[in-house]
Amino acid sequence: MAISDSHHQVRPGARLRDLRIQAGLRQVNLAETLGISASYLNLIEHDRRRIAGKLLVRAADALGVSPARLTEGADPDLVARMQTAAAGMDDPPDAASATDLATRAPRWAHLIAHQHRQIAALESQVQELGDRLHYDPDLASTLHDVISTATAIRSTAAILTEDETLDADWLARFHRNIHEDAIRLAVSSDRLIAKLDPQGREGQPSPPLEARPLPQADADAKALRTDPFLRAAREAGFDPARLAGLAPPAQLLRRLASLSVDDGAPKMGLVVCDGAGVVTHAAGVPGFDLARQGGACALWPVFTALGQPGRVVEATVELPGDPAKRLRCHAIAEARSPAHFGHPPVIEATMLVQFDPPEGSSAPLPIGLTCRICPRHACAARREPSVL
Amino acid sequence: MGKKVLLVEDEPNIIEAISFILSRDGFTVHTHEDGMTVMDKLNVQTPDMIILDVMLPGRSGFDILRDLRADPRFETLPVLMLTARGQTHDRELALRLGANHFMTKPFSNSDIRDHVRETLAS
Repeated sequence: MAISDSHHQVRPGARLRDLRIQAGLRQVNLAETLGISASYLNLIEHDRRRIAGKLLVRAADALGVSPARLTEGADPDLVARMQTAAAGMDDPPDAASATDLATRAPRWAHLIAHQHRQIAALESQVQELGDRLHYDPDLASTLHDVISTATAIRSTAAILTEDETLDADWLARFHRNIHEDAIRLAVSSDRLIAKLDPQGREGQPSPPLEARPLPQADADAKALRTDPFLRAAREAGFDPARLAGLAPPAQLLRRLASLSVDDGAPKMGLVVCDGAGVVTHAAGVPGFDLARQGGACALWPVFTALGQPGRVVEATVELPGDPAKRLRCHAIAEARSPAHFGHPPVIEATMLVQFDPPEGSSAPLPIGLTCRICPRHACAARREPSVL
Repeated sequence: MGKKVLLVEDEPNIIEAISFILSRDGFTVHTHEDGMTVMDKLNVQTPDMIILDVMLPGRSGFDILRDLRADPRFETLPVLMLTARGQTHDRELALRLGANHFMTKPFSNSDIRDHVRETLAS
């Protein structure tokens, strides 16, 4: 990737290229939309041809941004993302220098913002693995086996190497123990790898729920373009009820969940289930992936919504824990495709999950992730005993 | 006879290794593998110290610790908790429930021996 810092002035072509790449568009696709050749667009993107007038407006429109974003100084979103990246430093650079860098070297600035986003994603992955360990009893049990066996080997090996006065019986016994534990360790570590990296094993396991793309993602992004929607969402405090007029509720919930923390949106999760209550997508809600293995708690609003299609179900729920975790949920069930004569509607429920809601007047609904690991023994919705 | 240590652990080869190193050091080691019946064993014979694993069949070490501290006979009994999970949450929970010390597997033999020596020397 060529990154040029040689010009201090705004370079609309480079800005256009950055925005196109961010939007996931190929040069040939954007050129077709704009009614120009790909080679001409290439010249524009390298600032060897000027872009202005109607073509500038069309390009901005195709990318879902204002024309000013292509021609004015530093991209405010980019500056904000760089400042977010710097915020975690002990001695952050001053805000003005972020604007300066974003103006003079937008590609480098993007690189900083991109790397910050990648680091945040990796940190989130580590957090999710930690949460998974906490919530997944099978994984915890497998890991316990591995660590226990390693402990036995370490202790026994230390005795064998440190104690030179062992008699023949003890010596034989400890050698046998190490041999048995080595075999157990091989088996348990193999099981652990299979749990953590199922793709590396034979067969084709289902992908993680979070990795399954939403079929509506493209249509949602076109209907609610990122920049104006982000602005409206910020003004509405990311409250779906206050954005109600912008799009149908399910689309609104999906689009809110797709906003990036990097762009200043709060962390949000999304759960989608079909009419049978099978979770088909779960992102950003730690532990919800277990729903595929053990059946999710029936009290989640996403399932309540299935019983009352077309109505938005709002609820603040509380997960067990110390401290208990409160979540604000909005869910709606609706037909996934237009109605047909002689065919029942295919219903799908969508739930937006928002974290750390403000204290409300009504008590939160106590729920869990799945019955197996839920300590609410007297729950009316319990379908199987808890292992806790 | 040396001071009595009750080791509550379900991993046979860990039991054997810990029993060996503590016995060599002059302690009398009793062992128990089942979380459900450990309180029955304590009613029969009170040790000078307990080494208690967290993940046990039947009942967790945390539940057993909670019961111990609720019983006046065992509220000051030294308890060393062992766990395969070194999460902060587990450590905090063990100490909040009244464990005297917390050790994460895999531990070194000298750490466990030194801690038992120190605890039972007083």
